[in-house]
Amino acid sequence: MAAEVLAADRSPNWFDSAPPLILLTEDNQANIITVSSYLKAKNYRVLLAENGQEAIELAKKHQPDLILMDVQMPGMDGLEATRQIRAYPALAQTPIIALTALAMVGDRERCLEAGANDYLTKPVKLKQLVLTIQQLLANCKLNT
Amino acid sequence: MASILVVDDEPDNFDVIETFLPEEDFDLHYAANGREAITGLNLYQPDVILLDLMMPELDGLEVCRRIKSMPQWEAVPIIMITALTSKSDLAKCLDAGADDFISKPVNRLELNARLRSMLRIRQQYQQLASFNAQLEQTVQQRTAQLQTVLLQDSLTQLPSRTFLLQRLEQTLAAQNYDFAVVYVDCDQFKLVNGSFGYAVGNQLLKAIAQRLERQLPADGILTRVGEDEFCFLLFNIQDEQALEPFIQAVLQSFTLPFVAADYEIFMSACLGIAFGSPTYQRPEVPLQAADTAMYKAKLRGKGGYQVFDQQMHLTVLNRLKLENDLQRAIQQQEFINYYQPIVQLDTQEIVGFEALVRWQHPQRGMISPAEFIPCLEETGLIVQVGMAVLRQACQQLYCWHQQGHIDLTMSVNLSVRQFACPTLLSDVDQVLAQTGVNPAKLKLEITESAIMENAETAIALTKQLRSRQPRISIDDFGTGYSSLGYLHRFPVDTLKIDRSFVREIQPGNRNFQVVNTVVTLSHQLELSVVAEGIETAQQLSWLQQLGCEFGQGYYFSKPLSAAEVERQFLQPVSTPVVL
Repeated sequence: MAAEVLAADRSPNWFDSAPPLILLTEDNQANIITVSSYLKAKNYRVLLAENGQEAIELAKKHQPDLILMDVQMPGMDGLEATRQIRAYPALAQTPIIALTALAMVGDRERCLEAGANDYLTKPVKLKQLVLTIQQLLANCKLNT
Repeated sequence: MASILVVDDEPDNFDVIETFLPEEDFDLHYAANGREAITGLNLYQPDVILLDLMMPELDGLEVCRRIKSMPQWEAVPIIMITALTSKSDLAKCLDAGADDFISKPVNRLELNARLRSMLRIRQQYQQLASFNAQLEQTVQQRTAQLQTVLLQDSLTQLPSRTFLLQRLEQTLAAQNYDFAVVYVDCDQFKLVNGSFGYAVGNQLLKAIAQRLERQLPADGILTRVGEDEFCFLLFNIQDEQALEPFIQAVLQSFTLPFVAADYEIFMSACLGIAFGSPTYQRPEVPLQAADTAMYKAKLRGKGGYQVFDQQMHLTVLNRLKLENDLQRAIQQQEFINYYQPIVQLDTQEIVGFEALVRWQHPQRGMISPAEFIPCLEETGLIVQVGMAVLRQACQQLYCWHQQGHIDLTMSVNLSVRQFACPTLLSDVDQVLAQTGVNPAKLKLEITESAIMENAETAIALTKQLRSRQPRISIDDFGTGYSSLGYLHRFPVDTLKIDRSFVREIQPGNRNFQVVNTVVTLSHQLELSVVAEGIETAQQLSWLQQLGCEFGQGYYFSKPLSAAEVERQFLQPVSTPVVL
């Protein structure tokens, strides 16, 4: 599936500007539609990448407000993609939430080391996901 | 883990459900509207769907209806989540196909309870579906096995007769007539089974199959069509000349002995050949033609061959026509009974009649029984016709009894096939009941061969017949292999001496001795004797001398129609008739 911008249905209610753009990097189709459907319902715009390489290219091109990065993907995995994204100055501060399937000792450290701001274990509670997104975006706003 | 799809335009409602359900038990999916839900079903693979009733665009009822109309998803339980709880709203949900509903605000206990109950239904359904799938697979496997059994001979691994007929059918359908059917029948194979046993016989058949296979051209087919019968189907054969080398090679291949279980067995075979022809409509016909030709070859001796020709074709056609005619004759009731008097020899009084079937053909007139009885026997139609003859005879006898000739008996033949028919007793019962005839005056004639084919069964069956009062006669006595050992065990009343003994009876000759012996034997066993085929006064007097009590034949009268019998012999008085 080609990456596409999935525009939000409704106008934002707590942002003055355009709704935040989230880059969802995920290869599991069921997760993609659940998460994107939920985020759109929560007034986010969603951009989709199905592997690490695609994530880097889309991130460079669209400068998303936040990146959701699945760690386990075929080809380039999420950690490597995170490292490479961080290497671009324009994306150095973009919040990245790493998503891992199995909570293993040391996962958190490896994710944060690679440059992620936070990390959630799957199955991700969608409410928890949005809370984390909101928190990171708010921090960003404060920082700018 | 069960996959649950939540469809709700409000993500906050999803959050509530997410909070209420233990995450280790459920894999939760979310769709914000009906369209996303329906297009994503393949990805969600939901076990249960929680569906919000009030949504913009497609409302819950419509989404429910659409999902329930999709064959692969109709079995997934749908729980409607609704703030509307009036009876009519709930009825609408059920109408749309919903399986259950939960009212808003959602309660944790209720949500869990209803979800688990729906999951149980889902699991049971899936179990059933998987049983069904297994069953379906088993059926398919068995069908394939059966197909193999049907299309392949298990002993030689050659294709079967069914396979051959299928290929012939395809060939005829393609209007391809350049084929030849070569029927191969081993000569006197039964002797091998009889003297060496079936195990050796089977080994031999395998060896023959292998040798025949070596003669098979690349595009030909070799099949096993019977016990010791094989059949080649060959293609691209222009004429008999082209086939000649093949025929010689097949016959030659039988020259050397076959090795079967340490025995060397010499075997020969006869070949029957039929060439393709546009006149063949059904695949059985060329096969039958080759078979017919093979029998012709057999008549000339071992190791020969015969090509099916026009004359044989005519014979087969006539035979087919006769079979058709007979079928029609049964429906049109063209069979009628003639009656031949049976006479007490010393007084020359008529004591009864033998019913003999005649065929009143609408075009050909009266047809001789010799022409159609063998065909009736072979096709089994004799069972039906025989019963009709019995019924007619009983009706006639009843009628004559009513007219005052109360001592007359009626003899009716039972053929071998009738005797072997499992419904014989009930059929006879039915005729006796329907006609109201006095059964004690009925005589059933059974041939020696019918009895001796299976003596023990015959004894039991004859006893049962006789318990219904009819008398039993053994017909054509002396021509078969009656065992005297069995004779006294049969509940028999009469022996009928075959016409062949009567015809050449002369004091001092062999026939005279035979008749003498039979008469003496009968009297010792307290049986009555009827001599058949009496044609001259001389024969009558010899028989009288020997003490034979009864007789029939042209000397007294040929078989006559019922009307003629009445005109000649049955004056409307109840005194006995003297010739």
